[in-house]
Amino acid sequence: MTARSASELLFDSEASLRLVDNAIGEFKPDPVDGDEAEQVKFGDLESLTKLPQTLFRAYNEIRSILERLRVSRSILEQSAMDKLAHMHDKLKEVSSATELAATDILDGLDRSVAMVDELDTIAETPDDAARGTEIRGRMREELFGLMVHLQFQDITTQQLAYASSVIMDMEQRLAQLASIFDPSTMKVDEAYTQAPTTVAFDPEASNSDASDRQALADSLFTVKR
Amino acid sequence: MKFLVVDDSVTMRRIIVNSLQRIGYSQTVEAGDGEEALNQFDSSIQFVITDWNMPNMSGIDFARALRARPDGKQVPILMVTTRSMREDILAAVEAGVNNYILKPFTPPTLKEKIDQVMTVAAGAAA
Repeated sequence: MTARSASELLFDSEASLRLVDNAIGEFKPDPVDGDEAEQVKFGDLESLTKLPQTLFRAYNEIRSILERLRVSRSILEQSAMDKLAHMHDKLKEVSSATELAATDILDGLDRSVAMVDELDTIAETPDDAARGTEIRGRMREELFGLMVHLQFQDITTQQLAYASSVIMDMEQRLAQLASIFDPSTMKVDEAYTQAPTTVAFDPEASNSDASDRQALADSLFTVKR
Repeated sequence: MKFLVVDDSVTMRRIIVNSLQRIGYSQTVEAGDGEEALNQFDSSIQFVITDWNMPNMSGIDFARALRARPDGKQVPILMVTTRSMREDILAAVEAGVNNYILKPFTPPTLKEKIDQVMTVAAGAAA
């Protein structure tokens, strides 16, 4: 169920509540002046005879509203739970990707420090220039590898942007639901909730299974090329 | 060979540009989204590397727009992205992208894909 149909259901529920409000309004006698007021208070037999019909209509409207609210609730619950579960997975990925990248970077730094120690040792024996060149080459590769590990930042940025969009979506849905019952109780800053995000993101962005995903891309490009 | 590197992430642009330098390509220009890339593109650009998810104009729209330009029909386009759904990859093929790398990538993969694209381009030109 899309967000659009969920909001249509909410709109329908609101319309039904307004119908009930109108039906209840029909009970109220028209405003009258002076002596006639007393007459209406005790003698509006026409309104009283209509009472069972009006109550029956109100009952049906309320029953219909409750049914629609049940449907709305289950739709909102389903879509919200799916999105929240996905968001939870993405936040866990952010945590593990950050830790993995930090560990890889620390390992690289350890190896680089060990190579600097080796270079220090070699510096005391000037005849070993070739070995020094070889170590410096390895160290360059190691330092470059550290930079490559920083790609996790781009991926986690997208994962966090996705989580942020889910929270904003939930906030809007809750505000819509609350406004059906009482538009004045929950005010959401529209400028905030409707502001387009400046980060374009892939909801499926991931650090994991990189080789499997690359293999799929390679196979599709090979077939289509 | 002159590269146009398009990505909204400054970190990714630096990593790609540094990786290109490591494999021997030092001429690069950069853009932060598709719109900027279209403005930057000229006949001196010989290879385009672009991300997909970017504000203003995405990489896929940029690829389509580039292919619609007379001077952008032949330039090789390599997409470097997180988007790994089958339909996304097929959409990239249809848009005229020449090859595809999933993030996070390794420099050897970048070199391999550039070489593949250049080999195919050289074959087509011959």
